[in-house]
Amino acid sequence: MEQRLANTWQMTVNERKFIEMALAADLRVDDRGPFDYRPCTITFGRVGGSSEVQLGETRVMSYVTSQLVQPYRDRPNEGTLSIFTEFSPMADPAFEAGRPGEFAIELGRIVDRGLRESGAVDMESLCVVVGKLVWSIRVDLHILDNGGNLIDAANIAALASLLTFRRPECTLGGDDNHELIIHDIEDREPLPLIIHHLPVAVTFAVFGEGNIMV
Amino acid sequence: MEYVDSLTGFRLDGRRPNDMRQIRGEIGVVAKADGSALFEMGNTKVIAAVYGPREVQNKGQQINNQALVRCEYSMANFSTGDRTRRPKGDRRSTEISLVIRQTMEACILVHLMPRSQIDIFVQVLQADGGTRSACINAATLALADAGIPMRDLVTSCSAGYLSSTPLLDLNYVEDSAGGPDVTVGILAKTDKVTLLQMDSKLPIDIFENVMQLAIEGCKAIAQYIREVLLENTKLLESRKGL
Repeated sequence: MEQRLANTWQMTVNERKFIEMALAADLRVDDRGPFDYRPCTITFGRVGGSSEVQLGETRVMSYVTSQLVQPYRDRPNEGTLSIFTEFSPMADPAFEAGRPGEFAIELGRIVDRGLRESGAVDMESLCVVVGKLVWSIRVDLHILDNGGNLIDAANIAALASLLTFRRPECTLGGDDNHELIIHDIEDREPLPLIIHHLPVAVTFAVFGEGNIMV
Repeated sequence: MEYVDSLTGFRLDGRRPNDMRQIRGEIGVVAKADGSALFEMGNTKVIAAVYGPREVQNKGQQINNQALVRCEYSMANFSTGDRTRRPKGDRRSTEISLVIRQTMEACILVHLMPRSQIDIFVQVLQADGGTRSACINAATLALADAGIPMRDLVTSCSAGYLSSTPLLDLNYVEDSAGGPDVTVGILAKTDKVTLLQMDSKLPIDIFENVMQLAIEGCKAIAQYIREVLLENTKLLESRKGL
């Protein structure tokens, strides 16, 4: 994370040396083993498609929404999935409000690569009318508290919210079978997304000239 | 579509699965920059210009014990098939700028130039797949031309897996097939990996093969880059009259 602002908390030389020396003895600052995760809690919102993940002190919230749009010209029978990240100064004073910085975009692209480019979310089932109307799924990741390892937490949050998201069912009806009717959730049960597999992100850090890994 | 012909084993552009495209590197193409290079990998053409080490322009970003490395990646409007105006800060450009910066930062000896700034500008003139790798190779040449101290040469190459064959150096058609695309950046002599990115999914054992193929491509490019730099040095020597 390269946020070089006056607000960035700088680590003292003592703290840096302490962490490195402790790692040499296989000890971490919070008494974990080198390959231990912090306890993880996932809470879901009342409405499908929202989740909050707490990984130790890190909190990330994810919200999924959908919209009917025109598909891309070179993929007329596939829906779209886009991931947006919000790094608010509430999470860390080093984050700037407004446009996402480099790390925010990198995090978004990593989660995006895991979900979209690996084919985890089925895009063809999101097609309504080939070449005209497809569902566009938008995942918004909000970082609420930066306690480290944002990528893993954000990935879990995105997965959790996509799994609980339900989109309204729509059918073609009307006089000439060309009118699109989006059914209310009271009329027809909303449909879940088809997710083929769950990509899980695991982040490692390497200390001491590449000798120690946590 | 058959990406590797089953009878002859040739790819769509006539290469063998282990063949890289023709590479060409040229130093000193931007006169005003401290260091610059043009790098071509097949039809992909990239220009890199390096300014620095120079005084930090934004004092708030100054680091007191090392140099600040900044990188900007952009694609020219005419670089792809359709001429489109690309917004400067769009997510893909920002990500690739970040990736190139982190890759080069790992090999530049930043502690030798505190309180200074090194700018790397990379512009894609023609995009035919593998722009990320071409940019990193061009940046390495440009940094060497600028005389910026580096640990080692960083080279990058991509490899994919189509029609059950690992393929080296994908071009645009093979890249858009939607198959796996592994981009690797290594420090050639010290044998360290500084960049590893992949799209799509691969079984782990096949991934090892594809990554190994990409690493071999990187080493071949490093060999070529070393030759280009050596020739350039000989040229400078002869001009100096040595």
